[in-house]
Amino acid sequence: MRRFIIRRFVFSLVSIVAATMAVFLLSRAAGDPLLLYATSGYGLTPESEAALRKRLALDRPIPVQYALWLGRTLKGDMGETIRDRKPVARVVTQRLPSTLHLGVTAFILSFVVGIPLGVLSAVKRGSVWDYAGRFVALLGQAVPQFWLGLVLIMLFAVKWQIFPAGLKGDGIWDVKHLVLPTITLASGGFAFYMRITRTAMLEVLDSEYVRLARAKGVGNNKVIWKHAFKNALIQPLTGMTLGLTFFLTGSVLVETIFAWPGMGEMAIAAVNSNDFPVLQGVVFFFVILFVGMTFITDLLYAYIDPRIRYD
Amino acid sequence: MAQQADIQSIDSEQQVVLNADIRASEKRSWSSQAFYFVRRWPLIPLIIMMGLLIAGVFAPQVAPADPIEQSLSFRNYPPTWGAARPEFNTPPDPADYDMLITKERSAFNRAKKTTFARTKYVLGADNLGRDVLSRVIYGARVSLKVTAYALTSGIIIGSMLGILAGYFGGWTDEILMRIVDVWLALPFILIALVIAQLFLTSGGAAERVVILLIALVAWTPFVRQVRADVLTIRGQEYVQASKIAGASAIRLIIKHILPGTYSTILVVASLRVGQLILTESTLSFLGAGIPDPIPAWGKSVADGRQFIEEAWWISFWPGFAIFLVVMALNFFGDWLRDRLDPRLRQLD
Repeated sequence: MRRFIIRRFVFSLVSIVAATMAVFLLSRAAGDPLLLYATSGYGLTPESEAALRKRLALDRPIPVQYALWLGRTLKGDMGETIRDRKPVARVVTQRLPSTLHLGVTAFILSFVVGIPLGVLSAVKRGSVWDYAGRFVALLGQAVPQFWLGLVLIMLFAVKWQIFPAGLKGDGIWDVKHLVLPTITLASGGFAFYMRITRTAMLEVLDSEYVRLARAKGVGNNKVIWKHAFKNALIQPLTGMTLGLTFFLTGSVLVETIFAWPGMGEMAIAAVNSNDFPVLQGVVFFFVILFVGMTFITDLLYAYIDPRIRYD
Repeated sequence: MAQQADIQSIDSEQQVVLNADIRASEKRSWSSQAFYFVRRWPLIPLIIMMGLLIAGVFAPQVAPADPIEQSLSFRNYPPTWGAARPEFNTPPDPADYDMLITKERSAFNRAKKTTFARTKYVLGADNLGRDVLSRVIYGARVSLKVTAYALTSGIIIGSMLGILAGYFGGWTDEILMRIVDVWLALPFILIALVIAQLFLTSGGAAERVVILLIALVAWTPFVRQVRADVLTIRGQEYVQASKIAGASAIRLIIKHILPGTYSTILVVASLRVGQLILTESTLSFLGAGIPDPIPAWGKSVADGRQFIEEAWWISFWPGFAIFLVVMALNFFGDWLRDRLDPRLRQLD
């Protein structure tokens, strides 16, 4: 068990380093970063250029630059944004709550809707409920989120004017602004959880201990919720990491469409204006979120399901 | 009745089953038989996939208009089966013009030029007066091409690595699988955007860059599934026997192990196509796709975003095309999986 935890932990660290390094190298390959700070010919003498280069550590080899960046980041200093010279760490962490707000709401929605539907569709296998549920799940998996968001805006914001087309309200409880982005973001995750739950539930319902329970005369509801459901829940719980990718890539899209002031929207803006310190920061946070969740679910898996092997 | 006679001759146990089958099918109404057929065979997905293929391959023949040609007088023109504006749809009557005078004749010709068949803008025109339907049809071409190349390279690379990992095991396996894990942890969209920024701005072959980007995500599931297959095949007796008989590693892999993974590769590939099309259109939506004026679905959706209040059709139809195609492909992939390899159910 201890070896397992250590292995997973080391692996998580490697993932973080790999992801940040990839973005670091790419952003350096995009051209001399100094030109983004200052263009020579606009009062930039060779001496001041050299000084600036030295201050930004751009005169060192790229691996050294990366090591310096990583070292400073771990101390909480992620450099400054190129456009208005604000500390990146502060800019990114300012955006973090709204991304989490949207992501967590969508996550809860997809979990709360997807899992009961999965159970229903497994219990009433072959019925109209099953077909309807599976069909909706197929829709959810196939619909492009950027298109779904636009269609929702067309209908609810432009045509019927029920919900606003974008931006975030004040505070957590401003539901009006939250509805459309949440539905859009939850569409993929909900389908994913429904399918996983259905498969797991079907498998469990077919197992011998459930049949024994039925033979013993346990009531249908009790069999489903007490005996079968608990075991079937392992799959969707541990599938959270896979589902999480929906929410991370999804948040980039959904935030762009609904002008939601989160990290995803900022990342797209940073890519377009070549603001690589910001991009680095966003990627760093995204990867830490993702890797951290993976680590936690791995542990959760080992804890919930004693049958797992630790290697 | 010939059928009945046939059944009599078959032994009794089978006869019972067959009779039950016939009774079941006779009892069903016409509509439920149709439903049964649609449920059993992927008819609708196949029709959509054929449509995609035809649109992609024969785009110039199928499309009613040029996808790039602009006509600004028809900008944001609504779908003609919807609220068509009569002034554009009635051809001029020669009787209204004095055709003997040059001025009148040229007025008539001008009027004839601005009218068109009712079928011209079936799905409307976009903000530059380009035919949306034609752009959707040509967009299928881009999606097909990009996905085909990316998927092929993904299959080759992924299966090769999967075979290596499964066959050699040990450290090779460990390292390869950890690489896959790390790869999946990368925030792909952001990295793809940076790469696109880098190469699309510096000119060059945008299509190849997009293919490369999609290929970057295509390969991972093949490694995992093929590896799992190889692990079971490797332990089979016929493989062991051929190993004892002195077959080399390469011969073992190519002759005995690889053929056993074909059905898995086919199933994983068919489940992957839809996701790749979705990824391609997502990147294209975010601006990391094939640049203007070549029509691509994701980009067309993005183009219509700012006209969403007055011209919903610009972004609706290309997105709907993506949706239909991805759904058909997913449906077909599921069906193929249930047919060929039900073990892979864990995959979704």
